[in-house]
Amino acid sequence: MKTQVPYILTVAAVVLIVVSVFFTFIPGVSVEIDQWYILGTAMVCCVGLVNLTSVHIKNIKRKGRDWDLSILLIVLTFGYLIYGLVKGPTDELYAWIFDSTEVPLGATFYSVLAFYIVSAAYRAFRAKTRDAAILLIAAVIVLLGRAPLTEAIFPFFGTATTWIMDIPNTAAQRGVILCAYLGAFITAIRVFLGLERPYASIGE
Amino acid sequence: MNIWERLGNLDHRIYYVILIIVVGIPVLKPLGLPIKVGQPAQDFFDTVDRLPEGGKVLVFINYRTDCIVEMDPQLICIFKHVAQKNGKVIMVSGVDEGAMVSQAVASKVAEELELEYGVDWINLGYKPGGDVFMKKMVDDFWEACAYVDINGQPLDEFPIMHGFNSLAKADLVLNLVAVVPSPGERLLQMAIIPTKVPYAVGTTAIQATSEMVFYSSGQYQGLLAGLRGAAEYEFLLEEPGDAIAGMDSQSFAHILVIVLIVLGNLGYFLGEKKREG
Repeated sequence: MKTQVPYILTVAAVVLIVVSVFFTFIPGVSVEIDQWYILGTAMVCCVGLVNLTSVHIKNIKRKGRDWDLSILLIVLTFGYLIYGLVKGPTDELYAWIFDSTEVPLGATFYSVLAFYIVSAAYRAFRAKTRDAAILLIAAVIVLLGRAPLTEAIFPFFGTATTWIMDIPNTAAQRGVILCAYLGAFITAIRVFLGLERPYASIGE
Repeated sequence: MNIWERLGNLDHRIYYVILIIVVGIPVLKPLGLPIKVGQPAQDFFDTVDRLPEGGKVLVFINYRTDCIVEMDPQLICIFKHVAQKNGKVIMVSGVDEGAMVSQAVASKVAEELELEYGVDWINLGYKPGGDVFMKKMVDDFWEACAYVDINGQPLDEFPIMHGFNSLAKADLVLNLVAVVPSPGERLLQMAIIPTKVPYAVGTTAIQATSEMVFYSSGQYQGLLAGLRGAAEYEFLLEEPGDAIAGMDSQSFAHILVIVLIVLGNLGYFLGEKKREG
């Protein structure tokens, strides 16, 4: 029952969408299913919130590791949520809290990458093999070509960077994209035929 | 330990401090290094420039707070350029933080340009649904957006939304992308190819390699790649801003990385020779 019902629903949804997209005798069905899907994805946020709350409430009850931080998390999450629901996302205080916490934290996380890149360039990026040497030369050319100063002094690096991005990079990326889409297409057919059942472990 | 081995084993704090210095000094005192405009940014500029007088531009915000340094200058340039053409900007976000991030930038630049909310620009907020949402925007834009803007106000209250019941009604679609899998290519499949609306993408430097494929094929009519792309756009608009100021830092940071790669390799190979000898 746990696997048969989801499978029947999957097949019915696929058949309905494919038939309504390619044939016009049941107009509006795929549009309606699309709307259900959008509402469903919106509800996923609520599922995440329920899960987060449940995990941290259990931690507080057990007085587990960092249970005081769990209280803080619950208070902040629901406090900010309720305030946002009442005042709206463009409220001055609501926006100020976001701009003063989330924005600098997010930007800082990404900026820390600069230190990792510098460290990796120095310690790990070594021409130990022929393949590593090719990668290293390409990286140096692109680095020089993308920096305005070096591109202005040595225009060759700009031209070479454009060639690397347009030809080898595009060729490799297209191969990856084609393979990924073929894989996705095959997976979709397997799900449709019941050979792949990602929902089979529900409730276990 | 000889000089090469020492250079190959520098304490990490030394090059961290050097990085802070080479990035920080040009930010505090910009040098104004020359900027060469690449073809992808030129095409992006030309695509926006072809917007008819008073045309509507649908801008997708698909980036979060982590990429604001690269993406915000692109959004600011788009606002300024569209305003020059007396166009209208309709923003919608496909990622959770995108609505708030874009609201902060757009409200500031709109105030500066004296653009009126609901008439010259609007933020429709975060809309879930991914690919299906993109497809739905072609079938029924208002229903896809749940009939409300970011504040929950009904769309029929805003003159900018009157008659805009499908993505196909847009004169131009722009997508600012900094998440994986790329909403750039997904929007292409779900909405741009069926409607044939002009389409261009802005992205981060790190994601430019994967987006370049669609620019090379002509499916993206323009491409802004990272802070460099934003700087080129600012240069073309003759509106120097944060991106151009950041280019000096980027130049010196790139040079530092190359110097460290060379030092690391010299230390490795010459140090190894000594050990073998």
